[in-house]
Amino acid sequence: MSFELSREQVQIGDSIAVALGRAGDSGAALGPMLAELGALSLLVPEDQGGMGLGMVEGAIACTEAGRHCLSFPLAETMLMAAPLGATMPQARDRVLAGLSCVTAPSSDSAGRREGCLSGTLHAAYVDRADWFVAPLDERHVAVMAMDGLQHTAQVFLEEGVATAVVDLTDSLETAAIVAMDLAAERLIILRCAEIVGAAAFCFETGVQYLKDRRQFGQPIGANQSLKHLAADGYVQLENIRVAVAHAAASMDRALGNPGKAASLEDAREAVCVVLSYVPETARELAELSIQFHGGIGVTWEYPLNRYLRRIIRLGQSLGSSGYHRRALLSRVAGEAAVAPSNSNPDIVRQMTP
Amino acid sequence: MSILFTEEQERYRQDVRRWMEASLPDNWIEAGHWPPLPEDKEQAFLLDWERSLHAAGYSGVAWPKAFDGQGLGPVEEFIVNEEMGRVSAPESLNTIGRELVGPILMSVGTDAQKRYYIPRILRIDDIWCQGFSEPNAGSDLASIRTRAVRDEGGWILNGQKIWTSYAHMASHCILLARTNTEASAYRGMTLFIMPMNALGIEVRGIRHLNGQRHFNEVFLTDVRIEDSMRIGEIDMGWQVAVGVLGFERATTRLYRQQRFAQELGSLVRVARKAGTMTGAMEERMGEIAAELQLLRYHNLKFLRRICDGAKIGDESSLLKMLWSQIHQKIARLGLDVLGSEIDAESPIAARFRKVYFIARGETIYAGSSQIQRNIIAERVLGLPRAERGRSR
Repeated sequence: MSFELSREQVQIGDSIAVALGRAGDSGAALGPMLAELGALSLLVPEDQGGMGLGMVEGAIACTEAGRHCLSFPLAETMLMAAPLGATMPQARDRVLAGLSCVTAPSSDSAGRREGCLSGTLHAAYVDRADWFVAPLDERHVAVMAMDGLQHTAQVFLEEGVATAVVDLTDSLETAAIVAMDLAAERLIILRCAEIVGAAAFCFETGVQYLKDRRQFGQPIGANQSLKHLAADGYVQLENIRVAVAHAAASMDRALGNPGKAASLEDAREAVCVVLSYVPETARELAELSIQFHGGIGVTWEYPLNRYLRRIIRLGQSLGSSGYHRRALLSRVAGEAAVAPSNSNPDIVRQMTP
Repeated sequence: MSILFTEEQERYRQDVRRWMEASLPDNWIEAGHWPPLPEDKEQAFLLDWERSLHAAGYSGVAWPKAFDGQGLGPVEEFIVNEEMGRVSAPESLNTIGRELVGPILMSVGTDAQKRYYIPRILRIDDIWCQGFSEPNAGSDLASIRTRAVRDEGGWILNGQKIWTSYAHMASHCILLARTNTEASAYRGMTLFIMPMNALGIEVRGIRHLNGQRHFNEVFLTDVRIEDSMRIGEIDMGWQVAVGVLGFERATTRLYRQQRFAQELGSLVRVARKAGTMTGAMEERMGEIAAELQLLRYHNLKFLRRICDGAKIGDESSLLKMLWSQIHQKIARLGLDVLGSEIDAESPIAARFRKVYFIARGETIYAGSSQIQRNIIAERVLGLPRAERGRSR
């Protein structure tokens, strides 16, 4: 309903922040810890053992994950636990306990050709996930066991996060088709929430550095050139925050009013705004923070490196801002010049024979 | 659109929309009369338009009924605002009265001042101008030198104001003058109501970049006003003005977002019709479309805060920066879309000539973008202040 968070929503964010801050980068224990926090079951309906909350709460949790550069497929697991449970309740219970996790395509959807699933989909955390849940169309997802899928996990962009191209051809026997509305759009919102969290960490770290670092007898942040860059960064950060918050609230509204076309259009438009703006702006904020830091900013060890890589890994799959801006324009200014779609044209091309 | 509004509010929006569409003149094309009216007729039209807005219940929407307002809430005010933007309705000649004087009087005016002046603002019996800036006190407003000295139950004003919009048509001026030279820079200023027909006032026009007479210099020589014309406490004018200015930046003229969206829509249509649209142009237009959506999300967020009674503080600088910068992008887009057609006799050319030249000032007035960045950096982000020498 509104952008102002309720006390409960603030508490969700705070408790996750505190726990993630304490956990550091401890690897294997992350699943059970997230389960204990309730982060994994946020979006699962109450009658399936979850908390039955919405995208606003999901986005809050994913923003905290981004802020801590959490190496865990939180967005995918929290969103896809429910459709997984619809076909395999026991698997869902293990997921909600943090003993197993789910991954999903980094963007776009699986295709269906002649009754078979098709498509080669990029995904992350392929070495850790037991389940792969791919959006299929507006109303369905395909649930598959990771074991049955062909892929070669490799680490390129982000240390500790194995990615692969998953080939869905011949995967039909192992796939269960489950009803789920707007899965692709919901994944986008949660991933962009994670991107916003990562950008917020970068920006806040940069501003703190401007206050702490002294040169020429004063904090470097007393210089107006840096102040103005920081002020522009603040505006950018507020922009991407409000974009994701609005998209999450609009999506909850659309999911809560399934018959109302206007709500659905609002949600789609909000997702389009997110894609037009958030990944690119988040990357610029990370770049800005690196610039604030000078030499230390371009070292491997300094945390900004990990965050920048996270933002790029998540953002690259979501399609270029230019593409989405054109799609948004045709949405708001009519007379479609490009087909409005959330998909990346390059990936669409890959999927067609 | 429907994220925040109740069904009743949506119905109200439909009523407003119908009224706006029915009430604008048939020759209101591309945000202006076509063919254009002579200046005196245009001004008479603008005053009539505002009176009919008030008569229909669409001005002073959130002001109390006791002062001839409509007694509705900020959400209704926002809706009217948006619908005025959606039809690119005429811009008010009395923005200073509506956006500055009304709110200031409402917060610190005496009962007599409220009862007399606020209804007169809504009925356009009075038109207001704003006497804050001076030749050596623009962004550095605390450096004003116009003096107000006590004199037998009244005040004697001497000094010079500049950039005074509407002074040539205003009946009253809200004036910031120094009343105490001993106090620190930000103390010792007082707000006054100055009738523009008082003896000792000289108004000289300054022609705006866009060719029109918009602002003025105002010279004050031994202008005498009664103490009943003082607004708020003596020496506290800065505190009053700053409180209201912050709110003003955040909340007034939210119609800009819708108005700008109409401008963008016009340019999209022109480019498509002329066959000059390119992929790069579409990306640029899409970027502006995205930023306009973000501006609206921020507007809704601030509206929510106002409804919840939360204070709007320095973060309102964000809105000022955003809208002024977006509008400059639209203004430049207009030049690129229209090309040599910008120099033609057509409604679209007239509109975007005006938009371009007006937009140059928008990152300057009401706190330049650079001042807004200082405010954000120092007061929101907490970056250290630079050492500044102050003298006056």
